[in-house]
Amino acid sequence: MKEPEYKTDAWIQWCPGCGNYGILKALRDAVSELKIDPKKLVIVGGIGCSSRIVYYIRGGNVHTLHGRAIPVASGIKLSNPELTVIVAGGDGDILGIGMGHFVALGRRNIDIKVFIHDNSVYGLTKGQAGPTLPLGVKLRAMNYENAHDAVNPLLLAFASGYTFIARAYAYHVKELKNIMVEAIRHRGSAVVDILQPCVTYNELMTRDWFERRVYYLESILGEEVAIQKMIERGRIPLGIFFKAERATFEERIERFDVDLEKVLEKKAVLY
Amino acid sequence: MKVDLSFVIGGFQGGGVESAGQIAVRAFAMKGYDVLGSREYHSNIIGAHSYYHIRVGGKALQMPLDALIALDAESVFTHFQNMKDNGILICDLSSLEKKASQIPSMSKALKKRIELSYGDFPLNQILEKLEFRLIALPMAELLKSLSKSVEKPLSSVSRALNVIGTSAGLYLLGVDEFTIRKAIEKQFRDSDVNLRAMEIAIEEVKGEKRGEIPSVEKKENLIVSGNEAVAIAKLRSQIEFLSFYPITPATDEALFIEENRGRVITVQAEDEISALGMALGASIAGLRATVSTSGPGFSLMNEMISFAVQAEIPIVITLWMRASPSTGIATRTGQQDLLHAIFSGHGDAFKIVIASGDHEEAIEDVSLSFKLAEDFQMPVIHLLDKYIASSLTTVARDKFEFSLPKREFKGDSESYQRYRLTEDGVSPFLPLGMSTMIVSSLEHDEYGFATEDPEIREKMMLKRMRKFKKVAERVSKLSYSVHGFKDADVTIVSFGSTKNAIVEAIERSEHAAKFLQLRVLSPFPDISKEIRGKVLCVESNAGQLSLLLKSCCKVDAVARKLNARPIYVDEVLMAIDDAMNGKEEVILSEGA
Repeated sequence: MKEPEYKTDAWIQWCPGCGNYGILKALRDAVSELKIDPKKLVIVGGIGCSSRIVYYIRGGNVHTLHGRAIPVASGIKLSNPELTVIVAGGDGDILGIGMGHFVALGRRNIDIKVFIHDNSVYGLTKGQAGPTLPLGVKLRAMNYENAHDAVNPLLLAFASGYTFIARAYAYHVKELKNIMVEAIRHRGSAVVDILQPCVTYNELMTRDWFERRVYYLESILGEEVAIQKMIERGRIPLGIFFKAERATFEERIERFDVDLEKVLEKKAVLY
Repeated sequence: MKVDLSFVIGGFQGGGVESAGQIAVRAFAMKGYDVLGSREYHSNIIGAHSYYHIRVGGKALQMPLDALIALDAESVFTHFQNMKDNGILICDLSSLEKKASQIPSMSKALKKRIELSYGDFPLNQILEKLEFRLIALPMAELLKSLSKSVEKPLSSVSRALNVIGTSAGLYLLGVDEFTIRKAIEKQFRDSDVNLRAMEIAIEEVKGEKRGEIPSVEKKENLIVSGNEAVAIAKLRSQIEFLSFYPITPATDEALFIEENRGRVITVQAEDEISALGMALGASIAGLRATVSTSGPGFSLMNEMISFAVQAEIPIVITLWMRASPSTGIATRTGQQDLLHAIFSGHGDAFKIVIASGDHEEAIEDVSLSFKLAEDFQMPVIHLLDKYIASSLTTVARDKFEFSLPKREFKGDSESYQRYRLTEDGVSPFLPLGMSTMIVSSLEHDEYGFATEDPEIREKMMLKRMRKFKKVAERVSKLSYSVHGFKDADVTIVSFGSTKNAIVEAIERSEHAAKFLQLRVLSPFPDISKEIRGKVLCVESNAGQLSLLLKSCCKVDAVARKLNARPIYVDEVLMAIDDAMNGKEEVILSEGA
């Protein structure tokens, strides 16, 4: 069989040096390694720089609304379980406006992979604080110091019931690809929080800033250690933190045959 | 002899009014009559007043009442002013001792109104001055003898108070004992206590003068609520996906489908945004998908409606209107989402809006909605309301004898263009999985790639507009029904659940009246050539339809119902008279 072509001819509109390039490369490599037929690959994007990825990888892709990729992806996966369904969105998209859906997906454990392009800013609207930006930080486009505390995507995913929780770094393309492959292979809701510099609007969390802090976990951890690692401050552990086998939503819902005539009979006026 | 009855069964929520109403509706249906049972209830689990308003021999509500079966004192206070002289009032003997001021669950406003008109006196003193046939049942004694007779403690049989009241009422109205028995047997899984309660009730009123309910020709009928009618019609239409978030008065439709889902995928979503998002995902994947909601949920769905328009995704949204704005009165009716439905979603969000006048039309409109949504790849909003949702009525069984074939897809899957420009604006639809493609909320080229090019943008706008024009052609014959006189002195224009009250009113009115019932509200039909005489617009909102009508015809009078209750036949008659007398603004205020 001929290797499928995953590239499209769309011009890529990200800033030079953007972390999204690393994520795009890793994702193309991951689906290529898994030999996923582009017809059966569905990338569902929210809105923001990251979500443009739907135009850059061949698939049956859907560009939805800000924060709403997860509901649309859920409908798609439940309707056609054959499809590999990946959600792409930024931290603002998935953990800000779309957080309710993020939590609900974990609770359902639908077989969907959520790849968070996490750069702590709203890039496309030019640099407002994202949900993962630490409290008190003031970036160049912001009017004043961030008055919101940062959300911890991994802890939130754990509390929500995700059965695969990982953190990766956009410029470690090979390691990121490996984690993506594992996430796609996993059966159930998976989240990969992909740390990513925004070269234009996040002058604090730069490539250098990340690379001085990140290190890799040796192996998959038990629950308690996993949580400790999720809240580790100072250094930033990468890798797969948590993995569990649980029934997916698809398996939790019973389907049966129903005779509609019998249903109507119950409503009949008996004489 | 034509049987035509209008009566109320009232009691406190949780006190068996629901079963009582169902028994009454079934009893008359078993005799072969058309019946409508409108359920009115509070947003409350237990204790507040609720009632069934039942019409026999017609399918619209009318006042005044021929009878009132009051299971508690509050029911008497709430409804006695709506009764005919010589109407039958059945109540508990002990209720007669009560004053309105002694009933904690009763609204202060109603207490005040009663006090102003009648003073704060016990019921027996108030009723003394009125011309009702008062049948006061000694409920305490009857329950005691029931307890003795079935050898069960009083506390376990006291629930049967609803059956005692209802049986006595039905019997006095003229329903035979055999039919009442059958209706009770069908209602309860274990009906022994209730059947005995019925016998005790009938024994108690045996000497009284009774009406007469002859059997008429029996039909293959079902008794369904509006929620059930739509749910069954959706199952018949072979839906494959339903997502919903609980909201009154839409939930019962969704739960009925969930219970009888078979292979249909049903999901209770985390909110209405997600409910519609999931259904759109299912539709993109090729399934026949639908959601069901009410005003507040529909507000949340707005961005998804706009998405469905832009990304050209078929979807049927069933919108059960309730009294609003905001949370409004969640359990009461209204038609306040007409403009919201038509103009929902930001941008030029073309969509189809269909309104059904009653249960039977709702059934037809379900399959029509799916056909239109899929043929034109756009949202269809099926507009209904709480009055239809929770009213029980008799529907011919064969109304449900239809089926809609599953969605089918064929076409070239190589270099597939999801948004191919075509003459009628409709692009061939392939579901995800059959081809690579891009489905996009952004303005896009024929493949779905995002673009800001002015020429492509214009072409895509024109494409969506062409599609909507085609819809208008397709529905031109369906978009309104004409009832009544061809040449008339007054033309009533309305939509939705006001239908049966208006149809009956124009038959009874002394004026030559015709009625244009709008079935398709978007695209909005031009009805100018149908107008004869004065134009009277009837609606349960502040005047939304009249605003739209002014785009194609004059409007001489607007009759508005604003009290969150259904419109009654007699109110429409009054509105016709008022309009003919030159009145421009009419408020319809009946209902408890």
